[in-house]
Amino acid sequence: MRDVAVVSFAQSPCEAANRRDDMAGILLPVIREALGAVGVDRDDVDFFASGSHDFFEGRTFAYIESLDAVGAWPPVSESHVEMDAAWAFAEAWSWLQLGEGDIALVYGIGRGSLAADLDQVLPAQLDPYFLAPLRPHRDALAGLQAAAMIDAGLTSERDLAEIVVRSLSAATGNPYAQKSGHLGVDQVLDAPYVSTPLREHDVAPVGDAAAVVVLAAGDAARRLGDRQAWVRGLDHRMDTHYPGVRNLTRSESTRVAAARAAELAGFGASEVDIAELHTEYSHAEPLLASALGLERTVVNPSGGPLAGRPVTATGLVRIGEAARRILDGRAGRALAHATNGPALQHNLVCLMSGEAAA
Amino acid sequence: MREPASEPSVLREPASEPSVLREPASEPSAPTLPEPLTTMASPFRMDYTYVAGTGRSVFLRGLAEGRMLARRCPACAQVYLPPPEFCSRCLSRLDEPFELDGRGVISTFCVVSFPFPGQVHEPPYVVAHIQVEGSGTRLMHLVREVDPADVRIGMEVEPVWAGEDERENSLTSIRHYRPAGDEYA
Amino acid sequence: MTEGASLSAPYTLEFPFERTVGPKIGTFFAGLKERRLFGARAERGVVCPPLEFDPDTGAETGELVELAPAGTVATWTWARSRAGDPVARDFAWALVAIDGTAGSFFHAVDVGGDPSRMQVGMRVRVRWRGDRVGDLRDIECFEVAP
Repeated sequence: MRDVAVVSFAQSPCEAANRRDDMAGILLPVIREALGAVGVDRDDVDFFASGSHDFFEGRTFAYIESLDAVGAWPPVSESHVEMDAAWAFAEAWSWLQLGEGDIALVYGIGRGSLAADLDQVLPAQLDPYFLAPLRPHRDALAGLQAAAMIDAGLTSERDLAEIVVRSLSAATGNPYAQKSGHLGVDQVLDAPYVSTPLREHDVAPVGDAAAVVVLAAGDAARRLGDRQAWVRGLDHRMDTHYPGVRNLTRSESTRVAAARAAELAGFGASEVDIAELHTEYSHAEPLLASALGLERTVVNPSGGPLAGRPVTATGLVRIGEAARRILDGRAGRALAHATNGPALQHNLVCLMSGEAAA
Repeated sequence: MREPASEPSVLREPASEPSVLREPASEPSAPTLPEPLTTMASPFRMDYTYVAGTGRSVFLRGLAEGRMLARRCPACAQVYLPPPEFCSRCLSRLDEPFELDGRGVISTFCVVSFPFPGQVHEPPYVVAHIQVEGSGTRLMHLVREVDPADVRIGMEVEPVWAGEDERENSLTSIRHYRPAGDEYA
Repeated sequence: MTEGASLSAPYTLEFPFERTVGPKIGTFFAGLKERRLFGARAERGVVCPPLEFDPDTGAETGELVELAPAGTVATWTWARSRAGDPVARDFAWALVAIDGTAGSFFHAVDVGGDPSRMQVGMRVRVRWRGDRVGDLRDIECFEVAP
């Protein structure tokens, strides 16, 4: 494998509703910051990969507006995924592995606030025969998953409240967080249910933000800075869709992706210093920690998605936040996880290290 | 939702034994399967907010005032019409807006001859890219007051503004373009 | 001038899609219209609703078998009723294990708006819609079995 590293990361503050900027307007300052931090000019970028989703934007081919933030002329090599931008990161990493170039820029833009009611929009991601016609509430399938976990004795409402308290407290140190604060467990348990057993704070607040990661290969990566977050292993896997034929209390796709990523990396998920997990709901943390084999690892030091969920940028933010802690020397090894689909259907695991492969 | 016309829609009572499976259809005693439906309705309705962004809002507000506002990149001197907020080449914020008179030449065009649901204009009609004088980009608009067969690339055109009381934050504040006076008089 | 607030405006998208269904799903929907419930044979057992492809092997699922329209609540979450929901008062979304099947069926359960009546393991049965058209909502919801 080629040595490929994250060399820069930038993000915009997650806002509950940005009514000021178009796609390019949110994104462009973030791209300038990410490139500027490592002295890379737009023309030095060999490949652009991005992730966003038309159903959040409310227009077909909406992402082409975001290309104004990198320019489509002279023609650039670029690609877009209609999903979380963590999968654009996976594509850019593969592209660099193929030796097509040395520097790739990955951006994610997620605007959850444009849809007036996400209950109208999110059924569009569900099976059109057996799920979408019922128009489940946006949090209903997550509520079923959390209920199944509590029934199976894998967590409790109090455990979930403690995760919320820890996450929002960690987010007080994150200037990009949409929500943060020092709450008490009882205060969290007093909040109303959104979809039992999930309460208000168990559900990530949806917002608008952009994130940018710069990837570079080999000597280009070493030239751009003193430290690199080397992507040592990456894999993504999917469970079947219909919730009635899944065991909602386990994430087999996460387990398999982590095992494959560990095989590539030479170290496993249990050996990282910090993990940034794409937890759109508090119950996802014990579920993912179990699938990944995390025990004493620091989880979501940024506050994680419970402090702000800019829809299709959320997974890429996890990769950026994990890499940032390697770049600034606070972690030696880090794990980032991203998800797509209802009840953690599709999962990506990325293992990074301050040291390149031997 | 459609149902095959041949299907006799006999209603049956639900099976009375909750825990017993019936034999599969291939067995002689199996119940007859209904004729499969082939399609289902799958409608979506979604309400959104469109956010024009700071750059586009400058342009749209200008249209409401009957002014066509362009902006120049301080780094590469490219002039945008309509202007975004940032130069997509240099990533620089564009300079303050200035007004153009909107006259220009057709850089390319097509004749729309087919009808479609929601169509506003009666076909055939001309949609063109117009290179407005003083701008480095092209503006898309209708070209009318001319037989579509007479439209040419390079033709000089000018904007026809809506009446002052009809103007709003929209490209419809320009009703259409038409051949500029001298050429087509 | 560039600091002014952005313009914004509401708009609505509608997609009046008509979607083709597979042979098993089409038979399943036709069955609902006749108040009959079908599942499909798969490696793990009968799955209801019937998938076209086996979730474990990816092969086409096997024969359709008729099932009694009743089962047991496996998991549930309480929801506030919105306009257009299957039940006009607060209700549960649930995974219902249909008798004789492996896996469960996602649908609504009506317990009169009282979440304290919901229990994992409770017996429920299908409440059929009066005006059935051949889609999933021919099942209005599940209700407590007497």
